[in-house]
Order: sequence, then C-alpha cells, then structure tokens
Amino acid sequence: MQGAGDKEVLGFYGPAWLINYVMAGNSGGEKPGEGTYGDWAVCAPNVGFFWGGTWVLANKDTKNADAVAELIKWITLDPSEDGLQYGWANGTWSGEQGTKDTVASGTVMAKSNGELDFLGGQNMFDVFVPANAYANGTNLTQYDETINTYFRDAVRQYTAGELSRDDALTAFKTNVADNLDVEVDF
Amino acid sequence: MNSTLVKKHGFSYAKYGYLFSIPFFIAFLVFNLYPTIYTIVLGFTDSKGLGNITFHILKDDPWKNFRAVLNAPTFKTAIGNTFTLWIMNFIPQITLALILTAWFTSRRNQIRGQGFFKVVFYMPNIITAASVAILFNALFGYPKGPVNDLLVNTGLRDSAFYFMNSPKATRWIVAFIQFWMWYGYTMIILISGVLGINPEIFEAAEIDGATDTQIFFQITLPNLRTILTYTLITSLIGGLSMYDIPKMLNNGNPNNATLTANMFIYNQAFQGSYMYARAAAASMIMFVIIAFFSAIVFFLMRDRKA
Repeated sequence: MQGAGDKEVLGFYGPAWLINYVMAGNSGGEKPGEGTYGDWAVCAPNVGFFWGGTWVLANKDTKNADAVAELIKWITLDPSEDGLQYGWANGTWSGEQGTKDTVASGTVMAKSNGELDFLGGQNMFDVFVPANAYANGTNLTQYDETINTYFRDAVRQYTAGELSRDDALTAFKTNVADNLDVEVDF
Repeated sequence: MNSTLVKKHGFSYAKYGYLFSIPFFIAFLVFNLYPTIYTIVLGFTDSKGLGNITFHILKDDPWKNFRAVLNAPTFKTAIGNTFTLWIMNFIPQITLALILTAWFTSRRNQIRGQGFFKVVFYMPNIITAASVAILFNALFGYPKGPVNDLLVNTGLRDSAFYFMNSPKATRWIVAFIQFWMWYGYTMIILISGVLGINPEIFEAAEIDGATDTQIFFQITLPNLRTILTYTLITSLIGGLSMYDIPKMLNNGNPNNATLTANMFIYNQAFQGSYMYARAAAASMIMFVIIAFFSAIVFFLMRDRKA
C-alpha cells in the first residue's frame, strides 16, 4: 500500500522472465554488491495476469505419433527430476549456474530451488507457485490482442493529459463495444 | 463513281464497337456491379466470422445492422472526422491551386521554367500514399525524430513533442499530407481548364483596361465552372473515402481523432469480429451520404443561364 512502509521502494510489473533475462544483465553488475545486483526482490502482484507462454504442437499427420506423444509428455507432464521442467527450473540445462526460470508446473516449482543471487537469495518460486493460480483460461477471448491495443491507446491519452480517467475508460469501452461483437457494461 | 464505291463497301463497322466494349462490360459486371449488389444485400443479413460465406437474411428485423451502425458513437466520430479532415485539406489545396493557376496563366507576367515547376508540384502525387504516411510517421517520431530534433536543436522547443499523441497535431499532419499530395494535381487540372477559355475574351478585357485580379475573378473563375465542379466532386468523393493516409500514419489514433468512415468500415469487416453485415450497412450509409453531397454540389454549380 502506498505510504505504508518506512522506506520508499521502486517497483514495476513484469513477466517472470524479466528477472533473469532483462534485469539481471542491466542492473549495473554481475555479483551482489555491484550496481543494484542483489537489491531486488519479487512479490505477488495485486492483480493476477498471464499472457502467451510456450506452445508445443504436433502435426496431425505425423508418422511418429508415439515418439511425438512421448516427447510432449516429457516436456509438459513429467514432474520428476529427469523431466524438462525440473532441469529448467533449477538451471541445470546450461551447466553450472545456469539461468533458473519459472515453469508451468507448480509441483516442479515447489520442489525446486529458485534462489537467485540477483534477488538477494530469495527463492522466487515461493511467489510464483501461488501466482500460478492466476494462469487459468477463464477470461480469455480471441479479441484479447485488440482489446489490449484499445486499452493501451486510452491509457496513453490519459497519461498525456488529453483525457480524464473517466473519459479514457469510456473511450476504451466504446471502442470495444463498437468494433467487436461483445457486450459491454458501461 | 464515289457513290458506287460506297454502295459496294456499305459495310457497317458499328458492330465492332460493341464487340470491343464487351471486355469492359464483363469486367464492370463482375468486379463492380455484382459486388455492389452483394454488399447491399449483405447489409440486411447477419453475416460475420472470418471466411464465413453463409448468412441468413434478417426477416424479423431487417434494419438491425443499420441501427447498430448509426447508434455507434465511433461511427459518428468517424463521419465527423471525415468531413473535418476533408475541409482542413481542401480549403488550402484549392486556394493554393487557384493562386498558382492565376500566376501560371497570367498573360502579363510570363513565368519562366513553368514546365519545371509543374513537374515539381505534381511529384508528390506520384508517390504512393502509404509510403508517404509511413515516412511522415517516422519524421514525427517521439522522442527522437527529425522534426523533434530540429525543434530542440534550434531552440524552438525545450523538449520533444509527442505529435502522434496529440489529436490536433495528428489531424493537421493528415490534412497537410493530403494537401501536399493533391495541390499539384488540382493546379494542373485548373490550368488546363484556363487554357480552354477563348483567348479573345482575355484580349477584350485587356483592351478595356481590366486589372489582373479583375480578370481572374470576373472572367477566369466563371468560365472555369465545369472544371471546378469536376475538381470539387472528385475531391469530395476522394476526401469522404479517405483511408490510406490516416490508417498508415497512426491507425486512427490518438483516441480515434483521425478515424475516418472507411477505416471504421475496414475495422468492422476485416478486423476484430469480422462483422461483414455491419460493414456493409455502414458502406451503404456512406454511399447515401456521398451521393447526397455530390447532388448538392451539382445543384449549386449548375448552369443557371438556361
């Protein structure tokens, strides 16, 4: 909550891969103590969100259906220590000190070690396992990209001072109602 | 002797005229008339969905799509923008074209290098509109872009200005691009119209001692009536179907400030929910509007002598 703590803290929203692939390399250092390396931490957001992901597809006419099925199972459903996700979560795929990443399976993350020096030793999986609950498909539509664009344009107008907050929200909802085949509650 | 020859070769070539017109008529029927009728029919159906070609005629509520379009605030914004952008573009365009026409056809001051000037003025019309729009989008980039760099380095502004986020600035840029692309074409058309006026009238005016401005307003302009009608009608139709410049410049943003009617129709039909029926209804409404205003222009510019 704003103004609740005793120190001012900078925070911003980002996906899970932001930590290792964007922030760590740009924090001004590579070891704790250099730049802001080690001063960061991750916490749950106030609103859950998920987008995209990595997809595995099989050609319906494939001649190696069994092999493909086994591969897909190993990638997506194998929670054991030989599975892809376990190695990925613990960063063992690229040798010592490989990059650890969040994975789709909460089971795997719960038994993996997600401690990162960049986060000052925090185990990031403690935050991402409960946050996995937000990754459900209950409010997905095929219009999400378009709706996202309308919202982003309305926000840009609001932050530029051209529209008030209410006007920006009305403009966003009007765009969605007029251009898409959805019902909108104003 | 001649008449016998004509009788022998009394061969009518008229049927070849009809034969040679057939390709045009086939192309017209297939690519122009049939799609128009199909669109009119689509406006009364429930056709929607990507690649969906089956539809049902709305029997119980035939005007549903028309009502939906007319009630949509975005459509009203689009129509308003279309007229605004056209007027912002047309008034400077016709003014500059008339001034240049007066200078280039002045009998007193023969300007040298007219051919060179005419080529240079007409050149913006040759570049494709989409390329021009993308170019201007890059020119007015924020925070770094040629125009912003120029403004900041010369000290005209302290910091860069986000042109594409300001409705007024984006509208003026769209109007300027349209004006810049079409003033040369309008000027060429008007000059050709002036060249068609009988020079004896001008000589008589000079003998009577008329000044250049008097000649322009009393002789040139009235005789340009048909050409001006043509320019006005073609500019009206082109302006009311403005699409490529605002679409490629900033896709109708910010906040639909540069959204024109054709862009609205495109968004309905080929993006989002692919609602072909609503787009067809909107197209029909635009057709009625354009026909109405064209009729007004024809009525105002009619020959009143008869």
